[in-house]
Amino acid sequence: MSRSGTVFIASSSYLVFSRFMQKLEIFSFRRFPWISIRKHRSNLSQILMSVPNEENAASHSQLSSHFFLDILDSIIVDVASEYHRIARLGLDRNLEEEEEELKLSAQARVRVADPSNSNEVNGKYVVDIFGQTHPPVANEIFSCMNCGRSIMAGRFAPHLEKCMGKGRKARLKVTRSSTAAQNRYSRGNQVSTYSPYSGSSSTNRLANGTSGVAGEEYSNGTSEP
Amino acid sequence: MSSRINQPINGQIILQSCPHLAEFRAINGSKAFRALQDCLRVKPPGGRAAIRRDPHELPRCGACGDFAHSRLYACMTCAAVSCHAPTGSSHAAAHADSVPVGHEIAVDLDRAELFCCACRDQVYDRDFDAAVVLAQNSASILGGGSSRLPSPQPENLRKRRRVDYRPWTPDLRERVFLGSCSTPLDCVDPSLDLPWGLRGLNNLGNTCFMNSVLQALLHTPPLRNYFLSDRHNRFFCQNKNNGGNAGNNKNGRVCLACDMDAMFSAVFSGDRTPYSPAKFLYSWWQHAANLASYEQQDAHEFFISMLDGIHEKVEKNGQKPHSQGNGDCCIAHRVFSGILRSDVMCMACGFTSTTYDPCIDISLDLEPNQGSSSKAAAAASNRSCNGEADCKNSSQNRGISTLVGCLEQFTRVERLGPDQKFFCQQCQVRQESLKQMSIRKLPLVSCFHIKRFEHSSSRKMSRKVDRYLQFPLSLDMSPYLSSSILRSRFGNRIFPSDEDELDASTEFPSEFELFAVVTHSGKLDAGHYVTYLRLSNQWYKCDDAWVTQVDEDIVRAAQGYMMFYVQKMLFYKATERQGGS
Repeated sequence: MSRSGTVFIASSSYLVFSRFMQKLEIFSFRRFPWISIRKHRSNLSQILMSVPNEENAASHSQLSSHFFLDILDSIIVDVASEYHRIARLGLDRNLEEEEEELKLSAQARVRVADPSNSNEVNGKYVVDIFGQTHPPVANEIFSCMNCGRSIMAGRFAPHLEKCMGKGRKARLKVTRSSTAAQNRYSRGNQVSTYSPYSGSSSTNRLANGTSGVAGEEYSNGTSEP
Repeated sequence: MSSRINQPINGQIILQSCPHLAEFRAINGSKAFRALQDCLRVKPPGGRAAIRRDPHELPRCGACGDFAHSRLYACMTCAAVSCHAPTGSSHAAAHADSVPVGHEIAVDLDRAELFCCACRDQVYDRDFDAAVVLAQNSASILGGGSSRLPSPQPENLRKRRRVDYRPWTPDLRERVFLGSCSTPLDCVDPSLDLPWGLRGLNNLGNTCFMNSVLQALLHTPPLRNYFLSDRHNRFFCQNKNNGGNAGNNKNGRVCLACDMDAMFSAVFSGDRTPYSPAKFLYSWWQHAANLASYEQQDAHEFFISMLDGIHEKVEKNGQKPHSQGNGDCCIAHRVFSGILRSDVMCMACGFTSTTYDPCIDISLDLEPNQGSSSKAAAAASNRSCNGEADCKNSSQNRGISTLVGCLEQFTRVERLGPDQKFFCQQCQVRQESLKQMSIRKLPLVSCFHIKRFEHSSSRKMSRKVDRYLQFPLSLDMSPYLSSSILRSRFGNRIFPSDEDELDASTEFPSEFELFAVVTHSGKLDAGHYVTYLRLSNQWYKCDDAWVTQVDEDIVRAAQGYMMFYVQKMLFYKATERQGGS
């Protein structure tokens, strides 16, 4: 028994294997994050160390494929065992229902996209379910809670904005002190995506407004772009 | 695989045991698995358990000497190791046959799962799982050993006793009293059998962001029941100054709940002409003085801000330092408040730090590559077992995002890399870690906000994501609960956790029904909000003053921005009542 022979196999093929195991580990980490393949690596090193000297003659590739199949086999049993448990304990989600919902929404999208059976005539500026029709700009008249002047409903918000001394200048120095800001959570890593309470920029929101100029001039129809 | 043998009932798993395991337990009692305790090896911290008598032992089959076999089992009675293959020779089965009785149960050495050699199937046992979880825990808390799961308990998670439902019908005296003190609503148009409370809201000048959210809130079952049952009467509200209404007292304290009450009265009055929520806008602006110009308003931001407004008033008035997550402080939080759990596990030592945060909605990323999410991949592989792979795959190829996918993304394990190291209390240094979110407590009404918005701070650019998102009409939230997440982290072992206790104590099922969808159409700075409401299982489109009846397909195909789901239990009650009126 030459000790150097064993060491030789161990050193050269172990390098190949550790690289392979690293790859597998990343793979297995993605799929089953709380499971690790490191266990197999320690097993392997034991196996490699105990490979008898006669095996020295076997080509490395043969040895590699042998180990590869073993590991693959083991991983397959891992997955099977895991899903056996999930199925037996009734922990699997109701995939049939999810599938049904997906199918329904796909069908709905096809139907809605089809212009021939469009049963919704734009919805707006026609009669509503109560048989009423409404002007594009709401014409109900009431008095402003702030200044008491009579104002038309459709123009109330722009009026109130001026009346309460809000508007452009005020908006520029927006700082949010709402408690909501403190109570929010965030998924740490999303630095560049969405930060609704950063308060940095007023465009950091989905907005329904038209361009600022139109809003200030109270022009007709700007309420519904 | 898809057949469910043991359905979990209300979070409790019912086990069906094989006769051999039952017999084994009868002979050995609960002590049977105690001997295994010392053989359980968990590597790395928080990882999977394996069975080794000695940490460096290399087990091999007693019959054929094979050590590289992927399935090696140790007999639970005599510790003999044998290999097993589903086809061909099974030394494990041979071992069980070789002795007359009692050697059927074995344990999988690499997976720490029980196996019945006679049934040739994996079997499950509560005590065995508990032993494995104990080993996994002690491995992750190396030197500490103080508490099993160091989890600070939020004060509101004490068991709450529920009061049984008792139906009430007024007796003669009560009926007289009710009749003398109230004026019955006269139904405006009885020919139209439309649900109560359907009423358009006038656009006050680009205020559809407000109208859309108000429509959803006006038809939020628990919120509606609260206001319609006179729980917050604006005429007796303590929050306002000496009964002076804001019309003649500009400096009077605003109470958004009073304005909500006024709006509920108006909307449910039976009057079908559009209502102008002017007073509400005025009060809200007074509350959110720093949220300036209405032109750039976002519906979600309005939602948060106004619930915050309702909450704040109660807070100031009550003088009690309620925590928001408590959920008992005000109607806004009683309805919308849930608790999120966030676990950060140190990748070096396995120490897990847990924090709980209250939330009133869940903001979800609209992931562009949802197919690559780990759980989606796992689900897909599971699906392929069901032979329904093509449907799922095709939908993934088309790049359809789903709400369920977003929730999976939200609760998936996230690796915090070298740039986001967190300070590990046990290692006393900053370490790389794994982070995972889950839902500790579900609210009565779950609001999901989809981040249809991408903001690049480096390029000073913002854009709206117009991608379609599929959302179900019924949603089961159980996979995202802390108890489920925690269980899956411990290899789906059955063990009594404090999370399970909570699930049992709240007794609320995790099934939700969709009742309102706020959609946004158009561009980032010039768009329009429309709400779809589901009343008595019919969908209505609320587009400012216009209320129209729409097909379910239109809603399913709509571009959802905020989705409101209510606990199924409350939803069906609501439709019944609507149908009866």
